[in-house]
Amino acid sequence: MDTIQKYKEVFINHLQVTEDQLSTLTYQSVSTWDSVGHMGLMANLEDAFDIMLDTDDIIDFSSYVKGKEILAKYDVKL
Amino acid sequence: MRVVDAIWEKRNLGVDCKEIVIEDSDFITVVKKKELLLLNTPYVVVKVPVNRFDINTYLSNLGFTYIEGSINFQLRLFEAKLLPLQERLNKVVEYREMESKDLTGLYTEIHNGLFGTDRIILDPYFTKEQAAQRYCNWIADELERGSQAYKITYKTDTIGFFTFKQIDEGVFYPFLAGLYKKFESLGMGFTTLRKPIDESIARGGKMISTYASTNNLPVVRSHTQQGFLLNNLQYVFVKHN
Repeated sequence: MDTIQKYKEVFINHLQVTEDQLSTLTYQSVSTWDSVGHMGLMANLEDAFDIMLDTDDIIDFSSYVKGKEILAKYDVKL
Repeated sequence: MRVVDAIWEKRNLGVDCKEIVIEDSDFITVVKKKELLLLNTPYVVVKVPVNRFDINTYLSNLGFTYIEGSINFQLRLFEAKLLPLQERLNKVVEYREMESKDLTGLYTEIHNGLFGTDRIILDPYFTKEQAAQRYCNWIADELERGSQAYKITYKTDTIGFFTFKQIDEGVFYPFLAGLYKKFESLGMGFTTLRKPIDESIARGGKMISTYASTNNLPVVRSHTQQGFLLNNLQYVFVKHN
């Protein structure tokens, strides 16, 4: 599976959203992406890409699109 | 059944208010004896235990509106839990007892809309300003009685707060907590529950008992995720006469 598909699937599976929702998906825009959901999402991304996110990046991770920028810092090319 | 003359609501909301707390063992006939009070007090709040369909129906027929469920959560401190990622974040978030300037900041945050799911703010008879001032008064009263308020900080920012009250030996009640508006989109909401747990542990406590509204599902989810158990649930009905 390529990295972008892996990235998408983490969101789809963890937040129970559809692929067409991803481009506009932001924190708290769906009920599953609340404080609890955010921690699970970050943990799943760390597992999927074998990285450890910095605290500031966990806090800045406010949307699907913003997440791509953040993961680029960890050499995850999406 | 307990009937409380909620005199503090006169100051907070400008109306005479009675709060009626129904017990499991109360017969409907006992509740019906209070009908004059239920229909004549300007603002009536009735808290009903679960499984009392007879009383729920009676109140609905009198024109009462169901406005929220009030959940009592309890946590035995040794059962507190965090996800590994939350453990990491919790280590870099700190808390400290508030000074007067911090309290001023807290009251400003409250007036700017820190809380949005309580039975006052959701009630069209009241204003957002009244709901906010009620919280400020509550905090000030509790601090006067010896409770504490703490600020939660990340790096140089105050990101939220919690209050802290001892209600029994080793039992603490963080009666209000929240994340400040600017920081609510950071995924740090869990710290408003966790820091009171840390403080309870530091004080040698054994349990936290607290309340959450069913209108605030993210907060309910956060409690269950951190190990809190639902101890009790009351249905809350209101009526304006």
